[in-house]
Amino acid sequence: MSTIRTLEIPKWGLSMEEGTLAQWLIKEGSAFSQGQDICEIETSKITNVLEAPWDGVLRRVLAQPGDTLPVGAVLALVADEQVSDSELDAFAASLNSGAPQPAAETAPSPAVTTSPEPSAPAAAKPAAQDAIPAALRGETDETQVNATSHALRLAKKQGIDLSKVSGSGRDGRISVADLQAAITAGGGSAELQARAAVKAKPRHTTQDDSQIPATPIARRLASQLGINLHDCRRSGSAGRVSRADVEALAALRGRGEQSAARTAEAVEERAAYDSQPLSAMRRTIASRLQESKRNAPHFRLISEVDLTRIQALRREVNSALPSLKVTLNDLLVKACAQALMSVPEMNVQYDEASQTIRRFHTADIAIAVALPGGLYTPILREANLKTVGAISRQLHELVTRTKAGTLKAEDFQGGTFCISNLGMFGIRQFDAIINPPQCAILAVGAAESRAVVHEGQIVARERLTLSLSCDHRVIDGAVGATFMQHLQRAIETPSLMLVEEARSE
Amino acid sequence: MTIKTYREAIRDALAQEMARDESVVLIGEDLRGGHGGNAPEEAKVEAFGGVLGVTKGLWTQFGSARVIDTPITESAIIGMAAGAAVTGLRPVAELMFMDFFGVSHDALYNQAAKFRYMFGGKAKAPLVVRGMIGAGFSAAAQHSQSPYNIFATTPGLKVVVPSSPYDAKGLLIQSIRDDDPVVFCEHKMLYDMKGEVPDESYTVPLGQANYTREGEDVTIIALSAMVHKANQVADKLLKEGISVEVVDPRTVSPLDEEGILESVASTGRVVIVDESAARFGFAHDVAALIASQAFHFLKAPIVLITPPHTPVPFSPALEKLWIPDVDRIEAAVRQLMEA
Repeated sequence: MSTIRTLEIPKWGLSMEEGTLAQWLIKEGSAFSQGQDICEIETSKITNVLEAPWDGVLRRVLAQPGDTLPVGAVLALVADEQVSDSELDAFAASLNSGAPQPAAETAPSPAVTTSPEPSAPAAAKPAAQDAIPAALRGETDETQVNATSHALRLAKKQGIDLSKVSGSGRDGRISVADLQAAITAGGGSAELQARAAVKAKPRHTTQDDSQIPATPIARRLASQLGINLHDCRRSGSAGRVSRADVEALAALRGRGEQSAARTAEAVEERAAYDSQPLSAMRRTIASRLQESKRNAPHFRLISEVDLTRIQALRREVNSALPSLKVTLNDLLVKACAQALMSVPEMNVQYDEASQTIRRFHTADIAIAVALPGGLYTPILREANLKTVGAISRQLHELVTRTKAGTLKAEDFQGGTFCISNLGMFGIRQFDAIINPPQCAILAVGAAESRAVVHEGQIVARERLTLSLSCDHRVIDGAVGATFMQHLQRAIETPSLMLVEEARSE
Repeated sequence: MTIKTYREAIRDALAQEMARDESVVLIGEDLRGGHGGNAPEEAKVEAFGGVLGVTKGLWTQFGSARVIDTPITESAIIGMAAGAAVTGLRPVAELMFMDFFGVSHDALYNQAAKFRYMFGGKAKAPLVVRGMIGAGFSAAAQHSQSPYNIFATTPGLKVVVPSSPYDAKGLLIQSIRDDDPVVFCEHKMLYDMKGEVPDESYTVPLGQANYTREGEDVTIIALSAMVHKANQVADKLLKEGISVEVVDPRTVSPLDEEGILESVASTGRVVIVDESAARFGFAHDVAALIASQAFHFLKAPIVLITPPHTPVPFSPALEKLWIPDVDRIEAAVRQLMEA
């Protein structure tokens, strides 16, 4: 059977819409077996490895590192050795005329959709004789030249006669750098070093470019000119983006029509701020919260709760069990889970596309964790079924993994309710924006001593302000208020944790 | 091409250079005799030919004037070689075990290595010091070390560490013809290793690495006996789709920096295997080279595989643990592929 199969961008979790190919882990032409790592795909929040769903031979790579593609877009063709190249070409061409469209609105990815001649075999097998000066072309007689192994290998690949290149090494040995210099001197261009040999660069990349090797000056200049280093040539030492590369691209785009000297002046003028392109993660946060604020009519309910008893309980548990360090946040998660079980209308997600409400049987509570790069919301699953001790331990583990950047997709996808706590910053009260498809979020302020009237006396009590944001499309005011009532009761009468049912009826 | 052992390749190189150039002389203990060889000179009876049989047959061919047996005195052997070299001969001195260099090192590192520099180029010291390095023979702490890293710290000394019969012959001929003192380190576990060796004379230049495997994912840099362990790992992992490049620098001084850095640039992942030392060894020097010259190409931290910082144990079980082995190299490559 000579069938052609495809490797596609997988859908990791409900909210994944597109992925960026980070790196191929196997080469075109090599065989792989089921479960083997094929490539790395970066989504808005994580980088994950695509594992081979079956055995096969990677015959044709269609997507290049850096391409952002929609879920389901074809990354590569897999076929037996019997399948001819022309069959693969035809198949690739049929893909191009048909379904997969570029996902990123901001970054069209030329490699797949606009690749000019998908039927020409040369397109797939980059002979890469991009611009070798005619004077250097020829075949190298390996016994007659003194060159490094890599220089020999590259000369063969590029069709260069090394006897026409002069070497700068010991006894005139030719290095890759000598080869590169000879090509440049002859008026040609070729990116010889592996790290530099990135093909089919998208024109306006918006990806995080902090890992692109570049000289410090080039990096600063690029950020001042709003140029992404992904888009630049890398002609500097050790395959880095140099200042000249950034200036060349700026000139190409017409932003830097000035000469190099005047570019420097312009930089001087603009130096009042650094302009930073949004990272993939920032873009996700921006678009999702914008969408939430636009589509979900938020209403807010505020109540103040007394912490005297729950804090006493917390201290008692912590002194009795020194191995456990229960925090107020852990107890709030538990209290919210209890309240969600009591008011199941609150324990929901809203699917806008199908206009349906998903009602959940367990309280999967997302916790907002702020990191320098942005906001994560890892989820504590089935909080209603767990003891405070279990919640405390798992929460600690989730936060640790969030900070370490080792969250998996399933750790932050879904969730039926969200808690955001800014109390540690001394914030008294704030409004939070709902993280769709969730329908409510609880904003927790700082626990503090406040003067309150208690049994006819003004006394100092430890109090906390809670602010609940609800999506009015699916949650009515009374439902939200009932929830707050239950939440208040759970916090102010923590002994109820002992007797309350872990499930809603 | 003829198949020869590492030992025969070295003997080939000595015999051919002695035949080609009358100024080449051998100096050392038991070069002619060894293992009880005690016949009178006129009898022309050859005994073992050195403690490892490397020089067997050379005395009968070239006679006592050019194959000079010495008493057990390293300082005399190297001192004599250094002096003879300044007078115009090209002596090849044998230290037997490189571990013994301490007894004679003044003549080499403070005299021979400095002559050309201190006499403004008017003197030169074209000698070769041969000797065994390496653990694996249960030869204990005083006969199992690999001190090539120590020699390489001295400017003026060239240090050669061949890993195969082919390289051993070509590099030794080149070393003999070189006008500077060369320390030629033969690994005792490789003497019986066989490989293709041309019968005719040829040279392998000093300071040019050999890629014994070509690959794209990980670079393993290894010397001498370690090269074969690296090759073994490369061959095994190739079946799993991990493509390993093995770089054998062949000489640690001069060091083929380009050959190393170009491979690192193409793979971005590096394992260095070194039998010399746990601190201040070949691995550490190459790691520093890579970190300072090719940092931007690295996709993961450099992994160094060295013995522990202990003398080589006598117990075969402990010695086996001491020597960097295939399992450690394989684990390091896998770790890098996951980093």
